[in-house]
Amino acid sequence: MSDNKSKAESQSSVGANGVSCRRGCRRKGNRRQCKRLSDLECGETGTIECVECGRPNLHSMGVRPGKRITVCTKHPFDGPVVVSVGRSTVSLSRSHARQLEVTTEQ
Amino acid sequence: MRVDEVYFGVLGVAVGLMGLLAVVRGLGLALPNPISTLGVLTISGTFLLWRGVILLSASAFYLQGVVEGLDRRNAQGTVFLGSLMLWIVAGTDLLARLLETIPGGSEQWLASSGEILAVLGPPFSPSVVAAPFALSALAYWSQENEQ
Amino acid sequence: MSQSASVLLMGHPNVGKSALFNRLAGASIAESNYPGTTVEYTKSQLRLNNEPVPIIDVPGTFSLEPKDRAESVAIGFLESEVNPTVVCVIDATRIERGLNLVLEILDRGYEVVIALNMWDEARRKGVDIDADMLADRLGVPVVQTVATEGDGVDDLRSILDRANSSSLASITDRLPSKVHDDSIITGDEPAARWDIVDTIVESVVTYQETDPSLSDQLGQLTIAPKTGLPFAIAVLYGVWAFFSSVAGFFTDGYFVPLFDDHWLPWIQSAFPAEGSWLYFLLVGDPTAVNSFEAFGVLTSGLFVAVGVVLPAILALYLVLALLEDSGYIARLAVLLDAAFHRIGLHGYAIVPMVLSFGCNVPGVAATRTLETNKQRFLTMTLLSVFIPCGAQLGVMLSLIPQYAGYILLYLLVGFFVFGAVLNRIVPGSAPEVAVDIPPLRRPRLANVIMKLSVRIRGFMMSAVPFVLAGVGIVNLLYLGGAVDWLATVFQPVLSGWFGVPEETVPALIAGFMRKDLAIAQLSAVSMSPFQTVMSVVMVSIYFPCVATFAMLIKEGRTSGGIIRAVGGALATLVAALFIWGGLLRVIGIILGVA
Repeated sequence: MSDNKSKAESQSSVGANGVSCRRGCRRKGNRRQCKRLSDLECGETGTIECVECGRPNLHSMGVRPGKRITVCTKHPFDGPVVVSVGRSTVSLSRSHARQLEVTTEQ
Repeated sequence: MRVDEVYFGVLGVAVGLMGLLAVVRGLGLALPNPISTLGVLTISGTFLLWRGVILLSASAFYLQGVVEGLDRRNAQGTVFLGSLMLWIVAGTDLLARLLETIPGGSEQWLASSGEILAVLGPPFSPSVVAAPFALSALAYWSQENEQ
Repeated sequence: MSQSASVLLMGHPNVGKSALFNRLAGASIAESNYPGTTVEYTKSQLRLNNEPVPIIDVPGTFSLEPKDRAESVAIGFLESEVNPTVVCVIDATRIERGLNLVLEILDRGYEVVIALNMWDEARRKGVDIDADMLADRLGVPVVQTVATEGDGVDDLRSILDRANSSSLASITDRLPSKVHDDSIITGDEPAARWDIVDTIVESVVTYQETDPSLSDQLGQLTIAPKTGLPFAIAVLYGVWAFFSSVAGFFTDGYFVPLFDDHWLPWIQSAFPAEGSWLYFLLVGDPTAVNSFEAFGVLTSGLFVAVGVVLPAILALYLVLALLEDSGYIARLAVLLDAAFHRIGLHGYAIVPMVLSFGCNVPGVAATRTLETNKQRFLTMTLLSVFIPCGAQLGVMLSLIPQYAGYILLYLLVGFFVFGAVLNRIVPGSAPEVAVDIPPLRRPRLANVIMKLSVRIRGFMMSAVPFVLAGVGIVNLLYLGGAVDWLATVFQPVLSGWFGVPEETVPALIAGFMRKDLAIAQLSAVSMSPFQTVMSVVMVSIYFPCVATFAMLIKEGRTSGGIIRAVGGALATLVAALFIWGGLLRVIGIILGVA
């Protein structure tokens, strides 16, 4: 797990985009599905695969690879996605949520 | 069916009816003010439309909570939120009445206690009527502190 | 700076640094339940072993890589102080991310003490932290505190001189299971740092599963659109209703009769030399029967400052303090985020905006927490043009209560319309942000009162002199004939474009000093109701008051240059005045009231 995590991390820090992340997801086998955070429904939970925005700020708020993330609410009109991760609640903009790769249990 | 579900279901419907009347009257349609028949309840004043919308939402929250089942924490939260909205409107309503009366108009600096008490009497706005009944939502709060 | 090394309080936003600072230094500064209250640092003295030591409340920062100006300020402090003792304040309920910052600071070789704040809340939430083991693992002292209650503050004070530095490598050595051996060497690798954090948390923290509490549930419900938006309407209605009834209680209930029936007649007859310029300056119109119209420094000036503005500000700051401390503001920000996106801002622009409803000056200062020059410029400009301050609202409520709500609405619509336009034409980027949502907390009375008194004091010290000076300057201009001259010059524009009489000129001049004063002065001009609304809107949009303007210059200097920022703001306000003001007249003509 932690091996995967650090790989995803280093890929993102080199500036690789979604393609390499998706490859990371596929390796997981069939039982898990790779999604974008913005595609999760309210109340769904996933594991953060790769935070692809080049924003360390997200990491320092606790949104980082390997953490469980639950979508609390999604606001209409391309509004923010409110997630709970670790022990905190964070509001991510929709574009952040689109760039965030998560895996969900099937 | 739990007792509190029946209770908040009835309260929700009552608040909803008052809210509907407030919205309709707020929009300027000539429905009669219930003060003529009920005496204690008046639906009038400024921001009537907005207050009506808030009443309707509170009613919707109650009914939603009941439908979801009040054994669930989330539903209890929804009911509590609805009560909170009623308290906000009722609280500011009573505060406004009180603060308007206390100075007592010309030639005196403080209204007599009789005048002040009189203004707190009927007729009441819907939120003030509903607010005491909404207090039972506090039970969910104290329940939690006991645990 | 000083002979003794200073103490810096550092930590994430909204972990209670300011409360801890107050407890340590005995000062009084505002603590809020939303990030970014401390945009300016606060400095005080701490007595340590009978020696005064400077202690600084550093603005909250998430990491040592700054993302906005408030954070750069924080990091600037860390770097400019010589051998500082860093008190890392951590929210014990969310220890992970706090530890990440601690490691970052330790990695740079600073001497650190850790305050595990909000210890009581952590307990309630079933977070159990072995503080001794944490101190062991990190090699620095750890103290449990509840800053709002003052618990653990003495322990913290006594332990300050035992602050320690500790390298990441030595921390790794002390960990039970070694994390990746080689990645640790390059300490600033974020992933490696997080691995250390995870390992530490695993060994010192146990989480008991607790049911989400009612306030957690409310926290979720107030942020979800379906339940949050109706609740937001109730809250905003409550704010407005509270504001208008409390302000009305003091102003209409007491100050109006006090000034009109007692103070005004007395000073009109008691002041010597009726007809002299001094009488005109200080008392104004000897025949006036209400304090708005007399327009002397000691009549209208005093009345507006004390009788109208003070109650309004008191009421507004009280509800704002309650909203801030409950953590509701952040939720409002998220609810409004989508709307703000249309104008190139994000929901957090609501923080400067909400502050602006109190007074534009702190509102402009708070734009510092926004990320890019473009966002800062947009917010600064829009709020100084379109957001009426509490003082102004108070006067509006007192003079034209029946229109105040509509005027406010018209201005807010203008805020968004001009925001959307500016967003298109102003170059620059508007990055998306992630916002931390604080839990809902019950506001603490002591904190609300302290915040209220600090703000009221600050406001009165800056506002009262301006109001009095404003009346004085307008009266001097009258005496010099400048007002009549300006009235003739602007008459074509005023009546031609806006449809208001030329007598509004003195009010527009007063508007340079104080908007509230300007609106008070408008009441002395005989106008139709629509003209009154029109001129109030004009005064609101047109030039920001002197204090706000000074702040615009100050902040503009660091937000893309004075000329660009202030010039842009002025261009916007001229455009807004003519277009938005003209549009209102068109609306009035269509409705048949103009």
